[in-house]
Amino acid sequence: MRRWRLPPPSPKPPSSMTRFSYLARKIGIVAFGIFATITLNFFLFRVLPGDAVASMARVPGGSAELKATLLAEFGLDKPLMAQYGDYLYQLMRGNLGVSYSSLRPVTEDVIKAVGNTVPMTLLGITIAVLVGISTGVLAAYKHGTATDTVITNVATIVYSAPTQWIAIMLVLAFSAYLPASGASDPFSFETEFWPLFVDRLRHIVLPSLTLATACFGQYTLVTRSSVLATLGEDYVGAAKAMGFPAGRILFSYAIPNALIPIVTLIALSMGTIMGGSVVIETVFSWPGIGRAMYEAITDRNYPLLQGALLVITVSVIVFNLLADIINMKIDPRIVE
Amino acid sequence: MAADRNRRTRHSRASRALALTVLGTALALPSMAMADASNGVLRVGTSFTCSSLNPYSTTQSSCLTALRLLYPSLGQAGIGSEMTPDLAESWSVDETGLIWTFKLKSGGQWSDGQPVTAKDAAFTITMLLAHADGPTARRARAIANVDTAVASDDQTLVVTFKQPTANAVGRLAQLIIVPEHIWAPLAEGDGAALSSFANDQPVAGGAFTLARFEPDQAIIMQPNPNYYGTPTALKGVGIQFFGDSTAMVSALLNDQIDVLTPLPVTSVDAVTKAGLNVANFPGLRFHNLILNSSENQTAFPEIRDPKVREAFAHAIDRAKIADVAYLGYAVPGDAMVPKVTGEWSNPAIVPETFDLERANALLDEAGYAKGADGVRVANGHPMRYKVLIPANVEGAEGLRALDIVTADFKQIGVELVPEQGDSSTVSDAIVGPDNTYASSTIAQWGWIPQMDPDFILSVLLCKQVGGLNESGYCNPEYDELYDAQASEIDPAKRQPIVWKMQEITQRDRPYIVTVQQNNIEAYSPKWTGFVEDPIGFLNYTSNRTFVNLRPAE
Repeated sequence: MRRWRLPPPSPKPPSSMTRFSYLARKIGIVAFGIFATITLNFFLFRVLPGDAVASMARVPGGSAELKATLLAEFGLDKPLMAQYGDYLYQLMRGNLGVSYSSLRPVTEDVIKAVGNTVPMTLLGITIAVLVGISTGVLAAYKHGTATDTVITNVATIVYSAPTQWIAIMLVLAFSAYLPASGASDPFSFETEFWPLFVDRLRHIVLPSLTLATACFGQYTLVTRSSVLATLGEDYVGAAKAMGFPAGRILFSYAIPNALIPIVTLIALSMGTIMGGSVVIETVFSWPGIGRAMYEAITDRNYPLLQGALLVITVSVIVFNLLADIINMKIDPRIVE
Repeated sequence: MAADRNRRTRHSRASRALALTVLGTALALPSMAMADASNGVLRVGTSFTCSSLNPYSTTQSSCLTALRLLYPSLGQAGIGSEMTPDLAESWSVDETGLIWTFKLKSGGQWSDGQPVTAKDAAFTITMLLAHADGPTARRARAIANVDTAVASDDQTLVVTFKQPTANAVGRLAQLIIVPEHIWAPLAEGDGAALSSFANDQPVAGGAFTLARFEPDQAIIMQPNPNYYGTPTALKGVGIQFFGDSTAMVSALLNDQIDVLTPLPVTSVDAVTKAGLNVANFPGLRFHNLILNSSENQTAFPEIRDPKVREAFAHAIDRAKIADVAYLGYAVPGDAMVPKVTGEWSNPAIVPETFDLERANALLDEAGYAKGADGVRVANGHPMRYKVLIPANVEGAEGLRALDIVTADFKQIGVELVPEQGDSSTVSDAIVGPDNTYASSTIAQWGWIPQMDPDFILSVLLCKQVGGLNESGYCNPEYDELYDAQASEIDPAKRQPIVWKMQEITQRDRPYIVTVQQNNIEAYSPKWTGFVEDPIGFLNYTSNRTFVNLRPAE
């Protein structure tokens, strides 16, 4: 029996020059985006009323003199543009400044915090992506059935539920069985690998599960919508008419062509992986970048905020560039 | 072949099932080697984080509490002017009141084996003096008025003051004495290294040494075997920092921590029902309305009218605020020096009665008649005032309290318009550009005084305008009395001066104290010896809350 093969819906690939100029334009936008981020990060918090040392000086022993001393110590007594110049100069030398609350180099704090955030968010986002794409495909495939209705409604509800509420519900439900604060048991003096590993694993479950629960709904809904759109395409109709098995139509034609919005969404999630979640990390006292930002906002700790936001925004911009490149590979027509 | 495949499949399924069972069991089991009362390790949970163990860079109360456990102190604070000997076993003052001699205990060692001596104490004071305007500014209050500090021998410290200084021992007891051999190189030159030094592995000489420090996560300490004082019954102390109160309370309910401070008032019932102890006792923290007292504020001059201030004081239903806003965990407040400070609180000062009729009469007397909309008119404008409130520190209780005040003020023809911000924003808005206090009128905030009244009395000094003084209040008579009490070393002679200062603030009302908040702390019945300290369990002036705890029999 003759095996029919559908022609892939891709026209003539663009020339290498077109691809180069597309990439050059994207990289130019990325460079501008990073500079704009650096500048915005600097001015964003300084335009707010209130200064960084007001709370630090409102302690026993505080005084107008202590405020002045702290302002001078942090260079906040200089004109704003001079502070901006210092910030750019130090940044070019790879120096993000020192944290106002600990006086440690911000670079050290940010690297440590990102190192704590990534495993937790990576696990959470991975679960969310796997569950979201699976349920989204299933809902699209079972379009109009009770399965579709249940999946779509559950996804919509969890997507619209406040993350803090989800986190607190999980704390109330599972904190008798699993730890709900920190990345490890602070009171344990265990040094063996296996107990340490189990302890870390126990601590990562609830925050990762919260992130997965809060995020999977959007993957479900986007995947369902995108797969449904491709299932309505002519080539899918033609495949059905030619008697192709449903699984082959779904996995060989519908899903690959539905990938672009999903890849874009995953790329945007990379920002969460690097930047963590302020709410989740605060509720679970997770020592990551999100909690560091929360503390920094509370304390008006400008250097730590600038450093954390820089890492997050640069990672989002860079991952978006990667998504553009991947999308260009998936669908070369994009460059045109 | 098929049988082999089936066997492999069954084997694979069995392996997966076993792996999942092991993983599930591992996750369900409590963490191994978890510390608890049974092995004498005290686990404390708090929402107050600690970012640094450098005494010259931190102002966080939990860090200062840990530093008090790690480093030697001359004494430990008690109630009122009571001071318990610590590294200093005795002290005396000469007849001029300027030269204080401290006899120190011997036998103490730093964690690196070096002896703890008077030279370390003298070095600490001398270093603080040398850099008080720079890197050590955060700790400079402890050495106010000190001229020199000399170790005449290893066990004798002589501190000379420039002028007689009240509570001299109490001030010096707040010193965190650091080892000279570690910190002297950092103090060279401009001393900038003093505050930038990480100190994440401190060479300690107090009751405990550091086992582990994870910034904003936990501090774990173990007893110092070479402590100069009475060895603690604790086998270790851990302070864990929580970002969320629900998770913190859950940790207490699930035996993951032994002491929780502060306990949110909304969790008291749940904690009590779980069979845990809840300590509910008077604290130092008070809340108040701040009335702009600066002459620079010209838009609403009636705010400075004594009759208006008296009317405001009578229009505050303090009992309702304590019962409703603070759920009964507060009492009506009166003066800036709380009753729990003992001898320093003026007993003649009591909260103004809640009397709307009298408040209305006072405003009528002042000539501020009600307009058609029920809002009084003063100096040609409605008595409508923005009330600044730092929601991040006043919390839900403070916002509820302001709602109650707003409703009651409406009945006296005064409209309050609450405006929330964080503490930095509110602080800035109160003081205004160039510290002029030109644009703010009323704010709601609070203070946590110390057991000695000097600090809280200093808040309203003229020299604190632009600093701690949020009212812009400046009264030379008050300042003179402050100086007098600050240089009076006899507590009996100092007391009437302190009382007089409270009478002045009660008369001028730059602050109207609304409530005095209780301390609410919870602890496991597995522990005994809990000290109800007005400062709270995290006490940066004394280690007594920690060292008195021991596992219950």
